[in-house]
Amino acid sequence: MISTGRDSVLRLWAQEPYRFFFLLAPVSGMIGIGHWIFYAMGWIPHYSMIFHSSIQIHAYIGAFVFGFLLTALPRFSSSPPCTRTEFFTFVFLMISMIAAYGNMWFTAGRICFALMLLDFVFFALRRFKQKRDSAVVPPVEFLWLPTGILSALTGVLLSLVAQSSVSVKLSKLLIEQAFLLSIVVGIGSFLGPRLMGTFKTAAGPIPESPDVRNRRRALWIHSGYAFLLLLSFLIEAFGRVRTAFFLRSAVVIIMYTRSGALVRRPLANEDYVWMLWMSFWMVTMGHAAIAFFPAFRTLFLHLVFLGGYSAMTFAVGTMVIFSHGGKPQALRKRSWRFRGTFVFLIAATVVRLISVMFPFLYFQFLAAASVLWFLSGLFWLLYVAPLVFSFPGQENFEQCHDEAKQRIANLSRDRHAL
Amino acid sequence: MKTIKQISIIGGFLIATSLLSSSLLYAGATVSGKVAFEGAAPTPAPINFGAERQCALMHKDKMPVNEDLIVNPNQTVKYALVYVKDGFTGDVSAPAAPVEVDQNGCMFTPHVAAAMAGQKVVFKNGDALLHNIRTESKLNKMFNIAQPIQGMSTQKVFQEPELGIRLRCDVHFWMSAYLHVLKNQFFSVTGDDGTFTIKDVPAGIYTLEVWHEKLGTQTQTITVADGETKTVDFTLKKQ
Repeated sequence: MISTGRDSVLRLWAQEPYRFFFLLAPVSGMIGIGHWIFYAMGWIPHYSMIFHSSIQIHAYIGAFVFGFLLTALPRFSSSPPCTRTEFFTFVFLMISMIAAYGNMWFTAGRICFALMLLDFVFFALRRFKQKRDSAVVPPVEFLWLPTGILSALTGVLLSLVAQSSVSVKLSKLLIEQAFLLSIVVGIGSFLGPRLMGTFKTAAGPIPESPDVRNRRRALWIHSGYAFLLLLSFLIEAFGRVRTAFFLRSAVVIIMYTRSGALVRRPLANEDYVWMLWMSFWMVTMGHAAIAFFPAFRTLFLHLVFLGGYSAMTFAVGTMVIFSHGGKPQALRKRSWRFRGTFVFLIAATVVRLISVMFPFLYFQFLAAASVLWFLSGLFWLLYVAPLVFSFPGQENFEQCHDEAKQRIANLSRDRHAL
Repeated sequence: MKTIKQISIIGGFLIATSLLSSSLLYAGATVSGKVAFEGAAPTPAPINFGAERQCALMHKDKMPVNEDLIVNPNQTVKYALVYVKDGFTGDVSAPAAPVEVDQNGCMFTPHVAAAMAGQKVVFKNGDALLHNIRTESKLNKMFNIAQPIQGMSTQKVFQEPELGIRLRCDVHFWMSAYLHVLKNQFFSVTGDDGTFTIKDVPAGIYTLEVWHEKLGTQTQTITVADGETKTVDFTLKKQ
């Protein structure tokens, strides 16, 4: 009987992989920034920027991305949820990758990351084969998902064989930036406006059944933007940073503006929605700033990563956890834990940005930014952890999900009525 | 009145002439020589850039080597400091021109730099990467400066004479160099031919020392006269 109970719990965790990965993500992030604190304290003599970027991008943001996709894809494709074998394979690869990076075995870590991506490709293919409802088609924005995965896989492959400066740069850009930005632009422009209530199509609010012609046209448009985005990385690899970032920020601005993620003020008033809106602005502003000040590329990329991606993961993660935890109504309540997350995250971003003005205190500033980010992650964990361990019944969950969708649809409809 | 005026003109002329002639006639000694290496020349190991492949690719086909012991083809030692350790008692002032230490291609350039106490030292970052300069010194105040932007430079002045101040970049563990801060201007660092030249050394008896990070130190007492060219050779071996 005990065994049955344990099996049941494991199945529940496997069916909703976000429960594990959303907890692992901030913990990985804390590992990835820890060395700044240790270095400033004099506990370690050196630090590795590759370790920092690999952990932050592949483990911290990667855990959020995989947690979200492994949970959401079966729902979007109306197919069975993640199985225990699939779930534990991802967990094994993720932990192996973190361990490899921790030991500075970067090639091994990247191979684990590539295996995780390949595993996800097979997971997605299986889900599309097992679709229960053939009428269900994934949103066109999901085109950006294979774009991101293909970029990262190409990047890993290139990193194993690259011999020239251009190919090494390109592999680094594809692994560290193209993968994430594709997902943030694609999935972000789909999900963000729906959560903020700012979603808008040419025909009006959320359409019930998108017609085939419009869908094909939208696919072409998204393919064009995805091509331009990837082209911008190739341009950057050839050393044309300013041109690359003008093109990249143009794609980001167009994608976010068209979808209603950027310019329109959120209609939903929850704190996480404001954090999400801020994240879209930070991603956009960070890229645009590099176009104007290419010498400050690394600095403004931290605006993208901290103020943008980090805020986006906390915001979307909060929504997923509360919705799946059966407490979507709790999102409307003000929470000091979430506000703490928000405030510390903004403070960490500001401190990281101004660090460049103080070369003699640079590492102290980095350590301070790390501590602030650590607190942000800690507050977020305190906020969401109780809900991660809460398993509402299926009926209750579906009801919560439908209510949330209806509420957003109403907000969007009200906006159009104005 | 007229006599006083004539005397002062003649006096002034004589003083000016004597000052001019003394400055033209005075020329300190030149001390030169080479620092030889005794024994089989070690082959320097190529730098292990680790995972930082973009650093390695900056050097294209000419991969840099560990510079802590470079024996030149003529069996001489590169990056040895030769300086007047004792014997000089005159007044000195630090040169106005700064000494430059660059971080280029994820390497310190030069590997060994020397400046006078009070002379400006400019640390530059020539790479489009974050580098820092952390000093390991005993007599001067230690610092750790970050230069995250390409082209950034920081000026520092080391007030206390101190040999072998270690410079490190903690982002790139292989990056290290030495800065020597001397109490006078009589010093030279050997180059690709292992030779050194110290000019304008006033007549006197001096202790000349050679300092190398791996081969240690060696001293010689020399006596020089004005205008003399003195040859002093050192031979260092692995300790």
